[in-house]
Amino acid sequence: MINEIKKLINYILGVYRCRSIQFTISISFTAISIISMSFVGLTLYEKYIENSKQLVTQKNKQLIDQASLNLNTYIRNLMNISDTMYYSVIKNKDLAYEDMDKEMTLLYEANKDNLISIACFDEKGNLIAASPVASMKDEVLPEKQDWFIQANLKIENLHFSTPHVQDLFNDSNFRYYWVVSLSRVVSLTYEGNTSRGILLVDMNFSDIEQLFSKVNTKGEGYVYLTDSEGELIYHPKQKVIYSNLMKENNQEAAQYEDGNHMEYFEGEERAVVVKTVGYTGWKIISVTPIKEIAINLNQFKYFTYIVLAVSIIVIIIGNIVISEKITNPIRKLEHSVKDLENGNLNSIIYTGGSHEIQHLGRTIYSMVNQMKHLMDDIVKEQEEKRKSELDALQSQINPHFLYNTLDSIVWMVESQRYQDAISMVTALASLFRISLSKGKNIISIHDEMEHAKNYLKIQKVRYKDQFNVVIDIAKEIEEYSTIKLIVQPLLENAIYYGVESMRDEGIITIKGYETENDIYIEISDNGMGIPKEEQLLLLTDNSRARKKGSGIGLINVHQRIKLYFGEEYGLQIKSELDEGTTIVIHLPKVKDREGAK
Amino acid sequence: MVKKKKLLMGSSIGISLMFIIIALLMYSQDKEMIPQQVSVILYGNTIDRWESLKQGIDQASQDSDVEINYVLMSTTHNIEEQLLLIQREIDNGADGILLAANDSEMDLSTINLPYKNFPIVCIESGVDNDNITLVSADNYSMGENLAKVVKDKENSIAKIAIIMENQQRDSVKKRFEGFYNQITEKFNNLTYWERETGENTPMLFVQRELTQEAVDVVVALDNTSLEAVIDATINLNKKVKIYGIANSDKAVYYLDNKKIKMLVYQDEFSIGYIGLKTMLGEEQYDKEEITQYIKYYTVNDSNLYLPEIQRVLFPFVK
Repeated sequence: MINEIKKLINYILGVYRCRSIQFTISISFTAISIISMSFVGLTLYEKYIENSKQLVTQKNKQLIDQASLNLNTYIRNLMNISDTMYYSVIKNKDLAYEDMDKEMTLLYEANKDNLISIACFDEKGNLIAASPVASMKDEVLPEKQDWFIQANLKIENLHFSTPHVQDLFNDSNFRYYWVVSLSRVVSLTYEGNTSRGILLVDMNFSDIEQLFSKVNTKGEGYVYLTDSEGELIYHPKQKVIYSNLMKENNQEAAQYEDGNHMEYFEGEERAVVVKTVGYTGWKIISVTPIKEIAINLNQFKYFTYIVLAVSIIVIIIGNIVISEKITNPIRKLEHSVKDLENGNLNSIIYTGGSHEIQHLGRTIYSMVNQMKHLMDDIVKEQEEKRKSELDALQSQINPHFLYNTLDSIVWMVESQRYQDAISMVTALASLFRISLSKGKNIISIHDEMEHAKNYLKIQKVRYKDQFNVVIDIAKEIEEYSTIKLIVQPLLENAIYYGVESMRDEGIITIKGYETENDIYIEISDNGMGIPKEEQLLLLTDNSRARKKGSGIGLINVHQRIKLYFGEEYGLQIKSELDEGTTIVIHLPKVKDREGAK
Repeated sequence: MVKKKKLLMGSSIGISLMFIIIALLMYSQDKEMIPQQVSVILYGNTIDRWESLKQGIDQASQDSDVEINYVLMSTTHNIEEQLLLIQREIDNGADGILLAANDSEMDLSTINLPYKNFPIVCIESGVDNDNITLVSADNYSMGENLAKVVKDKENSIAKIAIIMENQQRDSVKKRFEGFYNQITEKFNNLTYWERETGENTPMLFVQRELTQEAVDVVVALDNTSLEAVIDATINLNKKVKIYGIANSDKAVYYLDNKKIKMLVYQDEFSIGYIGLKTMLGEEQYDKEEITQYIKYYTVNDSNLYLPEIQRVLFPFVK
C-alpha cells in the first residue's frame, strides 16, 4: 500500500516536473492559495459555528429564564389563591356553624381563567365545599388519589401533581379537564375542634401549555417541563410521547444540575439547559439538537462554500493570467530559439518581457548575429574558392588556345602566307575580344558562335581546308546565355581527334536548337569515333593525359557547365566507331541580359 | 490567443453564474416557505368525534410545517359526496389527501388525479385498493379482544345483540369478523340488529330493536352505533350490558358513568400523526406492519384513570 502511494506521489511529481513553467507556476500558486484559503475558511467557519452554538445556548438560557419567571409568577398566584383560601377563609371558619361556599366561589370567580376548581375535603375524603358547584361522582375516592396522599405526606408544604385528568365531579357535557393539582393539608375547625383536611386547587393544564407554547415558538429546539422526579408536566410533543411514537430523555435530564449540559440521546447530540423552578422543584429543560443548529448554519455553510469557490476560481484565473504574463516572454524566446534550431538564422529573436528575459534575448540575438557572420564568411569563402577554381579552369584554356593559334600563325608566316596570317591574326583578335568579353564569364550563344566561327576560320587556314564546317544554329537560341568558350574546345577536339587524320574530307557540324526549357548545341564530326570504354572516362577521369591539342578535355567544359548551371546540365557523348562522334552541350534556357537589353 | 480568450470568457461566465447562485440563495432565505396543503376528508358530519385524530394530525402538521384543511360530509353516509369532496379538494390545489373512507368500496379510480402518484392515505377506515396505505389499529384484533372480554364477563346463556351498522367500512367489518370468530366459541344466542328502511337515525332503530327483542348484552362496533345504543337505553331506561368499540368523549363519559361495561379504544392520535407523516413520506413506518405502531386499549371503569390509559383517552382541551 505504502509503495503504491509512493509510486503515485512519484508519478505525480514526475508529471509535475515535466510540465511547462506556466503550468508549474499556476498549479503551485493555486494549490498554495486553495490550501491557505480552505484553512482560513474552515477555521473561520468552525469559529462561527462555535459562536453560533454559544449564542443559541445563551438565547435558550434567556428563554428558560423568561419561562421560569412566568411559571414562578403563575405558581405564586396559585399558591396565593391557596393561601388566601386557607388563611383568610378556612382558618377563620368553624364549619359546624358556617360554610365557606361564598368565599370559595368568589375566589374561584376572581381566578377562573386559571382554575378548573377549588375544593376542600375532610381527612376521610368527604367533600366539604367546591367551586364551581358540582356534584361529586358517586364512586370516586379522593383519599385514594395521589394528590390527596401526597398532600398528607407533606404536611407543611404544598404539593404540585403532574398533569392528570380530573375525575372528581360530574360534567354533563362529557368534558374532562387536564389539570395540575395543588393540594395542601389544612386545619378544619368543627365546634372549636380542629381536624385535618385537604384543600385542592386544580390549575388548568392548558395555561401551562400556553405559557410554554409561547416559549417554544421562539428559537431552535424546544423547552419542556418535568417534576423533580422527571415525570413530564409539559412537553411540546407530550401526546406523541404518551403514544410511544417518540422518546424523551426526561428521567435523566431531571437529574442534571442547573446549567448547560451536552447529552447524547437516541444517537443525537443535544445541547441542554436546565433550570429548577423554585418551591415546586420542577425542572425547565431546554433542548437544542446540534443538528438543528447545523441546519440553520447550512445556509451560511453553503454561502461560505460558494464564496470559497468563487475566490478559488478568481485565484485560478489570476494565477493563469500572472503566470502567463511571466512565462509568455520565455515562451516567445523559446519559439524564436526553436526557429533557430530549425535552421532559420533569419528568425527574429524576441527581446521583450522582463529585464532578465530582455538580457537573455539580446545575448542570443548577438550570438546568432555572430554565427550568421561566421556562416556568411564561410559561404563567401566557398564562393571565392569556387570562382578561383573556375578561373583556374578558364585560365587553363587560354594558354593552350593561344599556343595552338600562334602556332598556326607562325606556320603561315613561315610558309609566307601573309594574307592568311593577317586574316588569322584578325580572327584571333576577334577571338580574344569575345574571349575577354569585358571579364564576363556569361555571354550570349550568338557571341559564343562568333567565337567558334573565328576559331574555325583560324583552324581551317591552318589545316588547309582539310574539313568542312556546317553551322546550323537556330536563330531563336542566339539570345540565350552560355558560359563562354565551351564550343571552341569541342571543335578543337573534333579537329584533332575526328577529322585531322582522315583521308577523306572531314565534316564538322554545329547544330543548335531549343526544347521547351533547354538548349542543345551538338558538335559532330565524321571521324573514327570513340570506343565505348573511352567515352565513359572522357567526362569523369580528370587525370587522363592528352595526346594532342590544347590538352583541355571535355571534362573541363563539362565541369564548368555543371559549376555554373547545375548538375543536370553538361555534356553528353554519342559516338560510333568509324562513323563519328557527336558531343551534345546541354544548357538551361537563360536569357542573355545584355542581349535582352 | 483564441484559447486564452475562451478561457477568460468561460471564467467570467462561471463567476457570473456563481454570483447569480449566491443572489438566488440570499433571495430564497428571505422568501417565506409556502407550506404544503393537505386535506383531511373524514366521514361523518361532526369534527367532535375526531378530536384525538385531529390532535395527532395537527401535531404532525406542526412538525412538518404543513397546512391542514379538515373536510366533513353533510350527511352521514354517502359515497358520492365523499368522492366529490376528494375531487373538489384536489381541484382546489391540495397536495395530498388523508381519507377516512365512509365506504370501503368507493372507487377512487374515478378521481382525476393531478399526477400518477398523487398521495392519498387512508386513516381509520380504508378502501379496497392495495395501492392506498391504510393507517389504522388492528381492527380484527380489536374485535377479538372485545369478544374475549364479553366471554370472560358474561354467562354463556346470555343473549347478545350485535349492531350491524356501518359494515360498509372495512374497519367495522373486520371488527365484526374478529368479534364473531371469537364470540361464537362460547355463545350461540346471537342476534344481529340491522336498520330498516325509513329509520333515519341509528338511535331510532336501536330503540325499536330494544323494544322488540330482549337481550342481555348489546355490542356496538363503531362510534355512532355505541352512542345510539347508549342514547336508546337511556331513553327507554333499559338495563342492558353494553360493550363496544368507540373513541368519542361521550363513550368515555358513559364508560366512566358505568353505562358501558367495557370499551375498546384505539389510539387515534397515533393514527392521525402517523397518517400524515406517512403521507409526507417523512417517517419510515413499515406499511405492511403499520398496525403495530397503533395501540388500542381495553378500558373499563377501574382502569380508566390509570396514567397510561388517560393519556390516550382524554385529549388535551385547549
